[in-house]
Amino acid sequence: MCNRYIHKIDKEMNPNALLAEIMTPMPHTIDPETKLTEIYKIFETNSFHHIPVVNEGRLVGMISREDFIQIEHVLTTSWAGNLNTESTFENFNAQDIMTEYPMHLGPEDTIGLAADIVLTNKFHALPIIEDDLLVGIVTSHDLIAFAYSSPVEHTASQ
Amino acid sequence: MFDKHIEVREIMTRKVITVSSDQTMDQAAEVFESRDLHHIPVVDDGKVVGMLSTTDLHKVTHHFTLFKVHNSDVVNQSVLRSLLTREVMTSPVATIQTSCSLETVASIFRENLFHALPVIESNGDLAGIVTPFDLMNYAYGPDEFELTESHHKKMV
Repeated sequence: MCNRYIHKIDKEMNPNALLAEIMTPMPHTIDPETKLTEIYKIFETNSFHHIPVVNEGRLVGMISREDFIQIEHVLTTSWAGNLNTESTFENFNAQDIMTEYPMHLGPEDTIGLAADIVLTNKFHALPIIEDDLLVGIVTSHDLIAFAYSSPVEHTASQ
Repeated sequence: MFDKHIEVREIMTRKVITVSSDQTMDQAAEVFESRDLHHIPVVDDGKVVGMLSTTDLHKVTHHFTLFKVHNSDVVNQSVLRSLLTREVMTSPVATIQTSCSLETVASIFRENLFHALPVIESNGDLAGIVTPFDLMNYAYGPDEFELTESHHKKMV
C-alpha cells in the first residue's frame, strides 16, 4: 500500500507561488440571513467544512462545521433530553453563529504566507478577497495537496 | 530541503499519549483537557484498537455545557464515569506503517475525513501519530531546515 504511488519527475515545491493557483474559486457561500436548517443541509450534503458568509459579495463571517456541530448540540436537546422542534433552528440564522470578520488574504499573496497563518493559528480555512469581494477559499487541505501531490497523470498510473 | 518521499517515521510525533480501552471516559476527558489534544489512540497491549477524538467526547457531553450550567457539569461527570473509552471510540481505525512516504500519508488525509493517523511498526505496535499539521509543518514550517538536518544525522 505504501508503494501505491509511482514517482516520476517532481517539480520543486515553491512556497512563493500565489494563492490564486491553489484556491477553490467561487466557493459555496451563504448570506447572513440563512437559517440554521439551511446550513445544516449544506453541511450534510457537501464534504467541505467551512462556509463563508457574504453580504452582497463582501465577506462578513465564516462558519465552520465544528462550530456548527457544537451549536447544534445545544439547540437540539433540552436539559430534560427531549428534542426541540425545527422551529428553534428557524429562529437562528448565520449571523448569530458565524465568526465575524475572519482573517483573509488576497489571490496575489503567497502560499507560504497562507501556510504560516494556518500553522500559527491552527485554523483550517482562509477566505480569499479581491477588491473587497470574496473570490475563493484556501484550506489546509489545499496547502498539503500543493506540497505533497503528484500531478494527476502520475497518480493515474498506479 | 523538502522531500515528500521521506518516510513518515521522520516527522511523526513519537511520544504519543494513549488510553486503554477499559479506562473510563472521565479519565480520557481529563487527558484531552490537560494536554490540549484532539485525538488519543486507544491502545491495548501496544496495539491500536481505536481512536478517541474531541468530537467523540462532544457527542457524549451534556448539551448545556456551553452555557456553563452547574447541573451540566454534574451530569457530565456521572455520564463520563459510567462510560468506557471502548464504548465511545471509533473502531476499527486506519493505521499506516512507519515506512510509508509522506506523499502517501497526504493522499490518505485527502481521501478521508479524519485528521489523525496512528503509525505502527511492522509488528503492529504503535510507534507514533501523524496529523495534517505535521505535514504542513514539515512542508512550510520555520523549523523545516533544522528538521532535515537531524534526518541526515540519523542516517549517518
